[in-house]
Amino acid sequence: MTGPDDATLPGRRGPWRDRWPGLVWAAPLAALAVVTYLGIQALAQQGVDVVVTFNSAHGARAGDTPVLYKGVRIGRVTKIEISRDARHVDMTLRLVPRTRDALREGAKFWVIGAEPSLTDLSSLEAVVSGVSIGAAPGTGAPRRRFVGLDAQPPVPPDELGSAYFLDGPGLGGARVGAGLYYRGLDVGRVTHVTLAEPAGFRLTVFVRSPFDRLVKPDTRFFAAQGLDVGLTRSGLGARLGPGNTVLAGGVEFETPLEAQGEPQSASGATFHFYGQRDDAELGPVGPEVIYRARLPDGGGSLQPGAVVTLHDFPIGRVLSRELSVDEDRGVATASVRVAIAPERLGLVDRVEGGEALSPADWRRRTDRVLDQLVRKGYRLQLAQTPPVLGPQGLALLRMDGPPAADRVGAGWLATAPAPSLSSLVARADAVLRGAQAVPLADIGRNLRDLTARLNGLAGSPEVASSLAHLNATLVSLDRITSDVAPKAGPLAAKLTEAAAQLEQAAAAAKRALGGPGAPQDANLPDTLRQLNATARSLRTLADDLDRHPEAVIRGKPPSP
Amino acid sequence: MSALAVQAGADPRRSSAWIACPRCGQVQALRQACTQVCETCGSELERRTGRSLDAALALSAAAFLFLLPANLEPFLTTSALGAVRTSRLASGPAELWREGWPVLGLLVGLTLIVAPILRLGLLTAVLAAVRLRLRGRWIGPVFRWSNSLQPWAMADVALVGLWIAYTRLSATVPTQLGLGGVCLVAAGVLTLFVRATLNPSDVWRRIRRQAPVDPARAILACDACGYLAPQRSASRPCPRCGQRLHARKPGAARRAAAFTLAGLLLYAPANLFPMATIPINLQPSTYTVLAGVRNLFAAGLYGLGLLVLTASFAVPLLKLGALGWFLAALARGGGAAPILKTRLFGVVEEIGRWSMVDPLVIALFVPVMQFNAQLYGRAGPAASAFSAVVVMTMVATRTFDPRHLWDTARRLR
Repeated sequence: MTGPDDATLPGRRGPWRDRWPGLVWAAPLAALAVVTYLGIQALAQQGVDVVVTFNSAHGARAGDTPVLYKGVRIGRVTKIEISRDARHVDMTLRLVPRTRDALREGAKFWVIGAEPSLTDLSSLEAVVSGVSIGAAPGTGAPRRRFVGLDAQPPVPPDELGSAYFLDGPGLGGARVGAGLYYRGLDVGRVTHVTLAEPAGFRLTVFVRSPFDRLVKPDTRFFAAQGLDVGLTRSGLGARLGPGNTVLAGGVEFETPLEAQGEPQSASGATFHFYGQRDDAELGPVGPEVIYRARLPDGGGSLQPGAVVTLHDFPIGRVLSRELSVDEDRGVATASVRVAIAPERLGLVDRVEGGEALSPADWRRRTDRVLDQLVRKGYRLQLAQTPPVLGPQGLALLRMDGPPAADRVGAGWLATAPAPSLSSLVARADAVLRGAQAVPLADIGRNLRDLTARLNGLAGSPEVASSLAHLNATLVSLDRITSDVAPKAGPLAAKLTEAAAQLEQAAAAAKRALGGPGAPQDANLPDTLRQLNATARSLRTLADDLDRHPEAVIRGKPPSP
Repeated sequence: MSALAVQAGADPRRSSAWIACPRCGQVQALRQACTQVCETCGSELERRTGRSLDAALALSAAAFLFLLPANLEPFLTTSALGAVRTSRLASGPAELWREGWPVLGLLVGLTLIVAPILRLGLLTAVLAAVRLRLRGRWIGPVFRWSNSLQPWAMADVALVGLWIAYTRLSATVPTQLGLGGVCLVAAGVLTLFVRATLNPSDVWRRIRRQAPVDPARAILACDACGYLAPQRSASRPCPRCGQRLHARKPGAARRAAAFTLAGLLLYAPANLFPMATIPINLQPSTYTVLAGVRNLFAAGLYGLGLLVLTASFAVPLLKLGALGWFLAALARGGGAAPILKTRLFGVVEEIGRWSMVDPLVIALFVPVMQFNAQLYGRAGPAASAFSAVVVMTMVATRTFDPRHLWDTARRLR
């Protein structure tokens, strides 16, 4: 074997021979060092593989979806495949070596953001960034296969606190994951909702430590009202619920003052779940006694569940309404079934001989109380609080005139006779005389002119003076309505509402037009539309009153 | 069939010291010069300055080693809105395949992963064998394979692609070059140095010495290794590298014409259809080759814009135009300006592969730009067509035999 002929190898001779010294071998050595280091590092950080079976991959991506524990990335999904039974999804997670000790029986894995939910705003992040896998350590025997949860547990598995059961007829907007609030502070979560016999729901709520100390045996849980708009005695009022209950619903609880000193309820205690705060404040309804009552005028738009009041205190509720026609006489009679709660009448559950009162006892005692009231002239009749606009209910009201010989017996409550139409019209006339003094039509026209001018002036410096004018109109409107108020309550209420609306509109207009650097074009059209609508509604009201004066008392007549 | 043109007055005594110009076919004496250029066409025959077997072996081994972590470690990492996307080198081809561009995916996988590993692995093996003075029939063919893989191993082209992809990515979302990316950069740079230090003629001579030939008689030169053989060896394998010996590449003009025509046809969709969809100002924007250049200019990235304009628009045009010219000249029998044509051929052969920059950018960009309906990157129909243009012109260039140009010229003279 002969080597290459050096004479034919120009590269072996001459000045360029040592151009590249042995130093060039540093390059592969460095590369080898880097590769070795990376290889060792990769081996050292190999991590632990676990297989978690889910019902659905929920959009997880192999190689991409992170596994999080307490907000720390502890691994990623490396493989997703259909399980052997072809009904589930097997996800292989590669976790950092440190998790080795926590991978035991009872460890939990779940998909975060599988169903973006308004109760958990952080889950909305997944809409953008994709789902991730949540994990919590277990304590049992070491394992490498787990069954995953499809949804994030409402409460982190290692959170301290207490769980309670709430039984109630309805959910009132609460759902799994909804917040639990104590005076506006988020202290827990609704963790389960199950059907409960006979026809209600059982909610499981979790109260985080240390707030579970606030739960006492007499604590009352009620559905949080996201947005509470209603007519109160001071006019139209709105109250926003705590947290994001507007969107997601929630549960609130409150402990009556006298029960504040009680010891904390043990985890697992059961409470009643009230539909709303007002019910909860009144406390438990207690036993109920059923009565029937005739409704001479058919009962208006009385709904089941309407409140029965005595001196504006709720003492019961309407169960149902029915119509019966007398076969012989051909007389139609409407009647209602009401449930009266004796405890609300101040009757206490007196223990006689160490036993609670029987239903028969309750009926006997309630009969007696109601009988006394009827004798004093109290009669059941339709009522609306606040008048005209409020929901219809029944009220035990004391009638003028001699007490009739009605008695409470056989479960029938006495009702007031229907008011005669003539007396109504007379009252309406009185109201109208007051109302006609109000230049409603003029006000409406003024407002319309004003909005027209606003339309023309939008963006000009004269806007400010227009707003001043609008304010003046509102002031005068306010004065007028307060003048009318004593004469015609319902009308006043409606006008108050209108005025409040106008005030809002004016405030909005001020923001849109007058504010320094306010975007003039963004809000203005909307504001003007509001003003216009308000003006139109005022005008309609004035027209209506002109044509149908009795509408003030009887409500709007049906359209011909 | 005409044999190689032989330099008049060549000294027959130094029979082994002959070299045939691969461009024009001129056989001439091998000289002891830093750089030897062809006496007829001016092409560079061999450059010995700065070349070293040791350096080439060392750098080739280093580049090969770097390719391993470049393929295994995370390549690019982007994050947006709390989501993190990490890619590996193979993510690009895989993503393109999954999105319904199998040709593009395969091509990118070949040029970015398979070819570099094979090319550098085989080259390292050959150089090590030569350095250790090993003998074996395998060395010649393996070196030939390694050389023919060289244009397709685009680790160096990926350097530019990575630069553009990184610039575009980081204009939209925070982007991090992973360890894999760093290793690819290292491998790419080393690849350039390997080319700079490797003297293939020297390696060939070390693999097998040129047997004595008589240049006065008709001889053949191997297309792959330049080995000179007597005319009677035609259609037999080259004793040094195993390539079948021909006086001229078989069917050169016809094959080159077919591939050039294919490239020309594909050039239309490559420029008319959208190349890719990428988010610009958080809006999914679809761009064509020229629109992409306009976007880069609008963004103030003039250097980058010029580069893409050159690599993606001008170079394919130049290649198609040049090949068209050569083929037209062969068809008409025109022999004008053979030196200019040879030079131009050299340029086309050398820069052809750099047009793959744009498809590589898309392949590096797409897997880490998958966030949501607004923030995503996707290859367009033109990307496949465009890369096909590049492949067609590259193949056309390789099948074309510039010696035909000289045959015509010599006939006319």
